Amino acid sequence: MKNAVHQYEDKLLEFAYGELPQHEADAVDAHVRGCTKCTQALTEIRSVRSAMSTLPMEAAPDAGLESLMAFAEQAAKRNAQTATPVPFWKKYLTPLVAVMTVVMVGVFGFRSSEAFDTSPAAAAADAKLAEKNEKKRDEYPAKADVPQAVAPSPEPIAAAQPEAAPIQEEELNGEGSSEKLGMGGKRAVAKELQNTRKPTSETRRQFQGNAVSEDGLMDLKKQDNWSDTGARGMKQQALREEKSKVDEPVKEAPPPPPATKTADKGGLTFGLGGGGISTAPTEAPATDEAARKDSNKIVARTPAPTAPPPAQVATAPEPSVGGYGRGGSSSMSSGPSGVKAKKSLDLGTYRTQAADDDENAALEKSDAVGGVDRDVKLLERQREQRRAKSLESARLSNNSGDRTSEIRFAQEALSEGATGSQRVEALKRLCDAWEALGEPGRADPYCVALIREFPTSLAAKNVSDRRNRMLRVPSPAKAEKKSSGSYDFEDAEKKPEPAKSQPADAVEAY
Amino acid sequence: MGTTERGFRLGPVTSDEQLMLAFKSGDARAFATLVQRHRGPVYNFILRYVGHRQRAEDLLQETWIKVVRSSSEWQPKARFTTWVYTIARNLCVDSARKESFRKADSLDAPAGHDESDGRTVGELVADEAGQSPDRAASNVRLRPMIEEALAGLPSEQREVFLLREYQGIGFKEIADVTGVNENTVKSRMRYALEGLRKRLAELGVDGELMTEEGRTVA
Repeated sequence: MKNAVHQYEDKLLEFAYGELPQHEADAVDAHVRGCTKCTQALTEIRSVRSAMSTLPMEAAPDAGLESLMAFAEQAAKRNAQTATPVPFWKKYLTPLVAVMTVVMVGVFGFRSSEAFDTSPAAAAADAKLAEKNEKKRDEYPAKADVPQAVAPSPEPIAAAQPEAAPIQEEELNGEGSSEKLGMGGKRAVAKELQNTRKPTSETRRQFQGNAVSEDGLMDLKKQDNWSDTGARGMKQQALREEKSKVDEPVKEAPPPPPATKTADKGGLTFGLGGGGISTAPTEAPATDEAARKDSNKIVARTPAPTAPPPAQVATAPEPSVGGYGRGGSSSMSSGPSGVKAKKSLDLGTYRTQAADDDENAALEKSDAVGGVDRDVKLLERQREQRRAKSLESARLSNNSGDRTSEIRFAQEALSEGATGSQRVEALKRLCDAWEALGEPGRADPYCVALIREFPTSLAAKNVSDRRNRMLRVPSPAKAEKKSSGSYDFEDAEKKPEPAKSQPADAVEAY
Repeated sequence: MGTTERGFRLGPVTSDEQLMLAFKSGDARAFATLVQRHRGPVYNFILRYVGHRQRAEDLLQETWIKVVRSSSEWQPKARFTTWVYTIARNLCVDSARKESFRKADSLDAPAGHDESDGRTVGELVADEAGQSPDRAASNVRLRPMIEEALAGLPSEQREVFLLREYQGIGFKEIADVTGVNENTVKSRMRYALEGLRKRLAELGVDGELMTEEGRTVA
C-alpha cells in the first residue's frame, strides 16, 4: 500500500471511509474491481478497520455530571442576563452621568479656586483696601462726639466668623484663654507681648503673675531673651503698657498721654496669653488664681472705669487688614476689616467699650487659633463677589439703557471697595452715566478720580480725550475757567474720592 | 421534543449548533442535550488518546467545563463537534505533555483499568488469552491487543485515527481540529492504518476473519 503507485491509490482511503462523491466512488469501485493491487490495498484497510472496530465504546462515567450541569445552569443564567437586550437609554445613561459629574466637579473646583484667590493682585487689593479703611477710621474719631467712642467695632467680623463666636462663649463660660489656646498659643502670645521694647516692671510683673502661675512657661528670665515677633507683638506690648498706665492713674499716676491711651483699647481686646492683659490691679497679680481667670474673661465684658477720651481712640496705628488676611503679623484686634468698619461708620453707631471688648476678645481668640485668617479671606471673597456682581449688573443696565441703575450698581461696587480694574470700570461707568444723564457736575468727581488714579488706563485716556474735546467747545459759563488749561476740578474736590495711583498693569486691561 | 424558554425546539433532530445557540441564550436544557449526545464519544476519544481512565474522566470534565465557559464566545462558524473535539484534543495534548515527564506506561506498569486490579497489561493479555474459547472470550482477548496496537501509534496518527474511526469526523474536520491541512491528515491516517495492520499482525489478530464474521467497519 505504501509503495504502490496508482492513480486511484490516493482515493482508496476516502473511498474506504465513504467520503468520495458518488461518481468518484463509482469510478474507484470500477477500477478496484479490475485492479488487484488496489483491491489488496482496500482489503488491508478494511481488515484493520474491522479489527479496530471490536474495541467497544465505553460509557462515560457519571462522576462530575451533576456538578457540570449545575455549573451549566449558572452559566445559562449569566448568559440569559447578558443576552437580555439593554435599553437604548441605558446605554447612554452611564456615560452621560459620568460626563455630568466631571463637569460639575470641574465647575465647583473652578469656583472654589476663584474664591481662594491668592494672587499678588488680590494681595495688593487687600492691602489697598486696608489702607483705605484705616484712613477712614482715622477720620472717624474727629467726627465722633460720643465720649466713650472707641475704635470701630469688629462685631461684623465676629458675626461673620462662626468659629469665633463659640470661642468667645467658652471664654465667658469661665475658661481662661490661655487654657483654650494650648501651649503653643500661649507661648506665641507671650512672645509677642515681649517684643522690642522691654516690658516695664509692672508689665513684667503682670506677665509673671499671670502667665507663670498659669502654666509655668512664662519665666521672667526667659522673657528677657524673647525676641521680637513682629508688629503685632509690638502693638500688643504698647497696648499692654498703656493699659497698665490707664489702670494706674486710678490709684496714683497722672493720666497717660492720649496717644497711648488709644492703644489701651486694643490692648484690652487681646485676651490671650493667660491674663497678661488683665485689667486687674497689678499689685496682686498671682495671688488668686480664680480672680486671675476671672479677670481674663471679664476684661472684655466689664466696662472700663476709666474710659479713654474719644479723641484718643483712633490714634493708634492700625495694621493692614489685607496683610492680616494674607497671614501677616499685624493685629486683627486693633481694628476690624475694612468692610465692617466702614459699615459701622456709615451707620454712625457707636458701641460701648464693653461690647467692643467682647468682640475684640473673640477676634483675638479666633486669631490665635488661626481661624481669623480664613474668615477674613472669606469675607474678602464675598466682597469681591459682590463687587463683581454689582459691576455685572451695571453692565447689564448699561446694555439695557438704564443709566440710573448703572449708576447705582457702579456706586455699589465702589462702596464695596472696588480696586484696580474694577474701580476703573466703576468710575468710568459713573462718569459716563452721569454725563449721559446730562449731569456733568455729578460726573466730574468720578471722571477726575479716574484720571487721577489711573492715568495710564485706556478709560482715563478716553475720558480725558472726551473732556478735552468738550473743552474745545466750552460753554460760556465755564469758558473762563477752562481757559486756565484744565477742566473743573473743584467739583471733583468736593467729593472725597481717594486718589491713589494704581499699578499700571492692574488697569491697563480695562 | 420540547420548546425552550427562548423558543428553541429541542429534540433529536435539533442540530448541535442550534442547541449551543439555545444554551448561549440561557437555556440549560440545551446544554444537557448536548452533553447527552456527545459525552460518551468525547470520553472514548479522550480515553483512547491518553490511555488512562482516571485522567480521561478528569479531562472529560475539563472539556465540558471549557465548553460552558466558552459558550458566550462561541459562534456557529464551525460544527459544534469540531469545536468540542478541538478542546478535548488540546487538553489531551497538554496532558500527554505533562505525562511525558513522568514514567511512561509500559507493559510493566499498571494498566490503569479498573478491572485490571493493578495487574500489568501483559498479565491481562495472558490471562484473557487463556480464557477465551468462544467469541466473547475472543473479544476480551483481542481488546487489550487492539488497545496496545492503538497505544503504540504516534499521537498525531492516533488522534487522526481515533477521530475518523471512532468519532466519525471527516478528514476535513480533523484537519480543523488538529490544525494541519487535510492532506497531512490523510497521510497520517494511511500511516496509522499501516502501523495498526503491522502491529495487529504481530499480535496475531486477523482482521480478515473478523470481517468475514460480519464485524465490519462503520
